[in-house]
Amino acid sequence: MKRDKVIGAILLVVALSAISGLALITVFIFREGVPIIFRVGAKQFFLSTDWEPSLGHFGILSMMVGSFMVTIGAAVIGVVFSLGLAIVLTQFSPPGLSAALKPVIELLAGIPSVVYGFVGVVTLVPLIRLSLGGPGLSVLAASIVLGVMILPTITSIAIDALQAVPRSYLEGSIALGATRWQTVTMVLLRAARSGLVAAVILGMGRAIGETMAVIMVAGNALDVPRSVLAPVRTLTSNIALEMGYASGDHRQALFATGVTLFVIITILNTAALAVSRQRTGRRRAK
Amino acid sequence: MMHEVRAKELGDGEYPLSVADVRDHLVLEEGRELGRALGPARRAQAPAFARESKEELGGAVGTPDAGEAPLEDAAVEVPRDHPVEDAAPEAVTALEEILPDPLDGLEQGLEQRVERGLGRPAGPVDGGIHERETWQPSCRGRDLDASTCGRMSMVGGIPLPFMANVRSVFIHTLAVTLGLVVMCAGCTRTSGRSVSLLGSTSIQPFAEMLAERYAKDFPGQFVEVQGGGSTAGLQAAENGLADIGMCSRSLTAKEALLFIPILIARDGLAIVVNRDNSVAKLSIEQLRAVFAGRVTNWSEVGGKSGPIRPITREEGSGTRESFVRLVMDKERISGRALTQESNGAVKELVKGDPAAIGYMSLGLVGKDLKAVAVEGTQPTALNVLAGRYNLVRPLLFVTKGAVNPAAQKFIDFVLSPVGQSLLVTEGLVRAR
Repeated sequence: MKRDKVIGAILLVVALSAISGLALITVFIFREGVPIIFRVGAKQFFLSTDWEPSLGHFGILSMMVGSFMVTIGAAVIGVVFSLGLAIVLTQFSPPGLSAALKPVIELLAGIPSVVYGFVGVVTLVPLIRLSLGGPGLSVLAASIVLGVMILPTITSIAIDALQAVPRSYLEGSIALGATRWQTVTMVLLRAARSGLVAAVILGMGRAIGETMAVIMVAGNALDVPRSVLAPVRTLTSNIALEMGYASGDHRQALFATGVTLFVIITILNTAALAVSRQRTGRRRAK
Repeated sequence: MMHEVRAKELGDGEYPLSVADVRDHLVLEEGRELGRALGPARRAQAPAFARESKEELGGAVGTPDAGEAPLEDAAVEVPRDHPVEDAAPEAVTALEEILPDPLDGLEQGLEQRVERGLGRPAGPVDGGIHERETWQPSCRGRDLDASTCGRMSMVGGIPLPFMANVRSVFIHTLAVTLGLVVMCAGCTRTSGRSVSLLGSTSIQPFAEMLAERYAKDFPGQFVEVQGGGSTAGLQAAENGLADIGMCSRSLTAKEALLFIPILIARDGLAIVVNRDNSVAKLSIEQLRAVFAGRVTNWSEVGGKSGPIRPITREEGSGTRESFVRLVMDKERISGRALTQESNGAVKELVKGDPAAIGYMSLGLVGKDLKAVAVEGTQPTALNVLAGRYNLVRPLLFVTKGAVNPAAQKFIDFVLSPVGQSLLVTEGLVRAR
């Protein structure tokens, strides 16, 4: 009994220190970042595209647009492939194949992002430059690389969501004469909808927070991209590119960039949580 | 006989008479006390000790109770008037004052597993706590098995990977916030032995080469070189993160008051284009127009028709600041310019893209790129030295006040004829 208590206390301390670490980080970046937003003016900070720290111009609009475009692009690519994978692995593939494929997909999540970036820079960027024009380093390249990177995240959560659909639904649908494909589109995807939405949102959260791979393939130009072939700078790459040098207002502005990112990701994660709660709530009601 | 010699080495080398070491040993002494008090635990460690002691003291240890042997024998080998031995009793009390609760807790409730965990560090921790020069001999002297030695160097070497983090400012801040005091303790410990350089990615490859040669010429001296950028180098020199900052631009008036710059070489700023590009010369005026985004087609500057894709460096880079100062006059670099965070990335991009134009250290151009003539002068080391080539910047080592002797020795090496000629063969221009 006594031993239980000791171990319990130790674990509690560990858990609390992890959480207090998070709390400290939050307090720290807000304390560093928020004052500059007020000093520059929120409107100026969020709605200006002029970022020239050495002249005291801090406008992050182009990077917000950049992050947004890259994330949406990644989500589109990621969702198409991940949902396809998840459906095939849960419904259409022989059990042996899904048993072999699932670990492979999970392995994708373990590859360091810099490797994705490197592969992107060496293969994807020249391909885009030669076949589609532009510098190659572009929104498109970043979206594709990120799309592949978030694939395992979305796939594994989507698989869980699909497997959580009660078997009786599917059997009922088949019994009513629906084909396999009709069952998938009309019953399975609908029943698992909230779980799938949560998967996509979490994937987007990962995409918007990714840094290294994006720096390598996005080109990091400061202008608002006018096409998917134009280079782009995201919020994360702006921080990572300039953090090593920044001091004073510039440093604070980068923290403010971090605050913006923090808020966006918090909103995304909360949304994902809310959507998946809704799912379990509904099921319990039935 | 061999054994005796080795044991002596251990005794001599192992105890520098510093307060810290005395304290460290007392901790171990305490660990041993504990080990003695807790019978089962000691029996559990016996095999480990037995192996150790057999190798260490040969036939001297024939006792069935092998667990006791190495400790006592070691005590015999060490001169009796040793500070550790003298101070031991007080230290035990001191330790009890510091750690009353954990010890109580241990005696009351812990199982054998935990006890072993506490008793065991006597070997590895002992070595790990010592300075580098100490634990290496102790490794050899004791003939510990390879894995134990490996573990020691890991314990002793903790600070190195942490310091190696290039963009550590952010992480460092967080780490401090989280109270990872260990890290800071580690920083001060390493700086005594090896010289650390941090800063400009333009100087980094040259500094690495110099460091390599330096380590070869002066065995036992270590120089660590990290990138991060000129401004990061200045910051590192200011807050002591590195002994020497590397800066590839002139210091501003404010910085000149804070730091001591040491000119190690001069470097031309090469304007590079793809090898397939037909443009061979540009004027400063044309360069400015290209990078400001006013000229966007190669045909406007004497090339084949096609878009120009200027590649710049990130804000804060020494190369960028030199370029802005030497070329841009009061104009701003276009927002359309691609931004890359190192000379290597610029090189890679220009190599692959026929439309690209970038700027980088002359010494790093290599054979894959074409450096264009600026104002009619070819960018060569000879032209830089003669003052004919306009785009020249200083490469500086920056220190804050006096540096430690090890760092000074490295600086002297870099400024010596040997160091300077090494830099020249790499494409830089000598400082004087």
